[in-house]
Amino acid sequence: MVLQLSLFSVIDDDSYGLCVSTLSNLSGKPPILYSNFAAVLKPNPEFDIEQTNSKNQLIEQNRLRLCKAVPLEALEPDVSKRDYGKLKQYGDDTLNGFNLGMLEDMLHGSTDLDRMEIDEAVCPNDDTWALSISDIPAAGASRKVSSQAITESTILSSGGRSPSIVSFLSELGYVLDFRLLTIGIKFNMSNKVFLEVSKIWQVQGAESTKQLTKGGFLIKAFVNVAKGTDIKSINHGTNALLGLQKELSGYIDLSIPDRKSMDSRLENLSDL
Amino acid sequence: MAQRVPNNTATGVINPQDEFNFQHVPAQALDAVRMRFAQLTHSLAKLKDEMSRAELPQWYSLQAQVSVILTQLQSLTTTIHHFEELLDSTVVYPLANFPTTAHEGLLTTLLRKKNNPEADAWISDAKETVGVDMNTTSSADLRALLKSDEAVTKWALKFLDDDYSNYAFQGLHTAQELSDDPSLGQVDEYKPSRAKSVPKKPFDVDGVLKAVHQGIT
Repeated sequence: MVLQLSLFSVIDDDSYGLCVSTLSNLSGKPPILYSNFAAVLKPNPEFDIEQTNSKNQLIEQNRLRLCKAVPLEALEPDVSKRDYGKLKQYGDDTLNGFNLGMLEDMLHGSTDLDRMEIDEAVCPNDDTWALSISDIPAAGASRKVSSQAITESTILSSGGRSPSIVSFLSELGYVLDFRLLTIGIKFNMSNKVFLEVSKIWQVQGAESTKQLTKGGFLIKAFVNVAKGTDIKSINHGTNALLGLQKELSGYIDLSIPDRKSMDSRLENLSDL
Repeated sequence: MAQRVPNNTATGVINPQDEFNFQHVPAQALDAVRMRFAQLTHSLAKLKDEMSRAELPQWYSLQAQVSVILTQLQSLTTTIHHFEELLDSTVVYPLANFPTTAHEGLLTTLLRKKNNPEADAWISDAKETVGVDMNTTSSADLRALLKSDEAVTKWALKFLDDDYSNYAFQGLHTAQELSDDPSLGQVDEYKPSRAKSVPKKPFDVDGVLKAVHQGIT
């Protein structure tokens, strides 16, 4: 289990250039371009899942997150030069020139129905996914940073008769809820603080995308602490984040988001 | 030779043997103008001298000199403007006891009212460079040209200021500087940039995080 300490902020598209050069100078290193594809799954609503266990305790149903790094080269094959400046072009809902079908292929093995049942993975070497469940961030008004427990595992292979990752997880009772594509840049700041400036799209099938961060970029500064019981590291990470917050104050005001917005449990279950 | 304001001397003829009365000579005005001209010619000569050397001086020293020259020019024009009426109404003529024949060259130089051919060439050169034909351009057009020139200057200044305000220039020292002079780090003289270009917030963090964790509802 990882404890993730984080702070968030937002900048607009026009501030991106200056922001990147500021942060590069601050970190002393150039930004790293990255792109992630995430599929979020929820317990299959077809199943009649018990809301309480045998001791009459409430069971919370949680979403699962499947995540995988997708090289931009694979998504957008025609572009030769790729650096952080590229992100400025992705202002829209649509990602023109992007091969979104590839994302579907990754999830389902293949979008071609005839090939789906073939007993081979499409790209057997690259069939690993990071699977994670995140808790709702810890409560408390006196908190200086948001701290969220995340449990993570890696799926190395989903082989078998039907090799796609989605069918693998559907056998475990989970179905696809929504898909996200994140393209951003990452800075390694001092004291193990990571800072991500990213744009996020909700992917709706192979054709349609909707940008969640329209007109700007989401900024996330975070520190991962390997153990939730390691108070010393938690304090260290908190102080590192607060130091960055102070350094950037007046320019980028990093703040704690509403913990409810980072809750990945299914809603209204207790009302049923 | 002397300068004087024509006064109501009865005859207008002065006896060369008489002690000339200098009290009407606008000495104060002339001296003020003379001093400023002296400063300006000195500065210009110095600048010209430096520019003609094989190795150019540093840009900041040139800039400092130009700004000094501009200040001196400004001061000269204000002085001339201040004494405008007095100087305009002053008529210069040689006294009768001036050795006119012996110093004819000096006299004609001093009394010359037209520009030197050299100065005329400079003026016409400047006019040509501007690209405005003074003979055909109406004064209204000229004023418009000046206005647009001012507008460009204003724009450039504003642009510079805007860009300058994006950065903080004070109170930032390298580790080397700090170790060389420990007193630098003791006072926090850092001034954050007074940029008005603080990033705007086009969307709400909570909304995006909600969509990331729970999907769009």
